[in-house]
Amino acid sequence: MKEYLAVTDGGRRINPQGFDQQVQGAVAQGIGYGLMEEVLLEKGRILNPSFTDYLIPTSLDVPDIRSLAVETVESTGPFGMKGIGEVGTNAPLPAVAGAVEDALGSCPGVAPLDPGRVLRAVENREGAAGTAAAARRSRTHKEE
Amino acid sequence: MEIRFVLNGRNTLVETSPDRKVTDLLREDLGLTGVKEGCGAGECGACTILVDGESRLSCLMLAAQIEGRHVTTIEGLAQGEDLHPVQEAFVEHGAVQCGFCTPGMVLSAVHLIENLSGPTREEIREGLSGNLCRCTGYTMIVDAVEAAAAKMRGEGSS
Repeated sequence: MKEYLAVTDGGRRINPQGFDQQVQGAVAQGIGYGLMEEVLLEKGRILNPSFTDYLIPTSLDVPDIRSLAVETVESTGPFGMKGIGEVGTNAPLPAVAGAVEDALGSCPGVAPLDPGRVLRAVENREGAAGTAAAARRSRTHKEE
Repeated sequence: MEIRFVLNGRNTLVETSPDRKVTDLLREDLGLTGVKEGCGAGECGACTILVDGESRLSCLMLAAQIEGRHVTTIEGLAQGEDLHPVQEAFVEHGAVQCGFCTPGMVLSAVHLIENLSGPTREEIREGLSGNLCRCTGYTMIVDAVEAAAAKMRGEGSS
C-alpha cells in the first residue's frame, strides 16, 4: 500500500492532533484486519496465538496516512462531537477490495485479502492462457 | 553469580542466576519498569534496550550476557530534566498514545539515528520494523524520528 488518505467525519474536532492520532491508528488496524490478520480456529482452539503466526502491521506494512477531517456539528453530541476512536478501521478492507475488483473484475468475498488469496484470485482469472504467458515472461526475464 | 555491568551510566553489581532473563532482571530486581515485556518471545520489540549502543531484545537475553556491557534503558536517556531529542520529538509529534511500545521504539530510533546518516522515511520504517505499535499507525512516529534526526544533525528547529 503506497499511500492512504482518510477523510473522516467525527463531528466537531476539539483536539486536532488527537483526532489524527485516532484516525491513523484505526486505519493501521483496519489494514491489518483487511490484509493480514486472521484468527485460525480449530474446535475452539486458536492455532496462531502469537505474533509469529498472527501478523499485525509493522511500520513497513502501513504507508504514511494522511488524515483530513470533515467537521460537521452533531447537535446531540457533547460539544458537537460524535466519536473517533474506531471508525477509521472500517474503510481499509473495502478500499482494497474495490481495488482488487477493479484490477481483476472480481474480489474474493473473504478477509483478510492476504497475498495467498489475492494470488489465487489472479491465477483463477488468468486460467491456462495466463499461466502460459506468465511462463514466457519468466523465461525472458531469466535470459536477460 | 555476580554480574558487573554499567547501567544507565552507573557501575552496577547484581547477584543473580546466569540465566535470569534480562527483562526480569531490569524490571523486577532493579526496578526499571520502563523496560516493557510485550510478548516475551522476541516478536514485538517492546523490551528493546541498548547494549553497548546497539538495540537488543532484553526478553531474549540472559543475565550473563550483559557482564561487562554498557546497558541503557529508557530511564537512562534523559539527562536529569532534559529529554533526549528523540523523546522531545515523540511528544511534539503525537507519536505516543498508550505508550507501551514507546520505550522500545525510542531506543530503536536512537540506535538508528546514531548509526545511519539521514535517515529517510523509508529507512526509518525499516529500522523500526521490529517494534510493533497498535495505537499510532506509525506515521507520527516516523515524523518524530525524522525531526529528531534533523535536530541531532544540527538542522535548525524541529
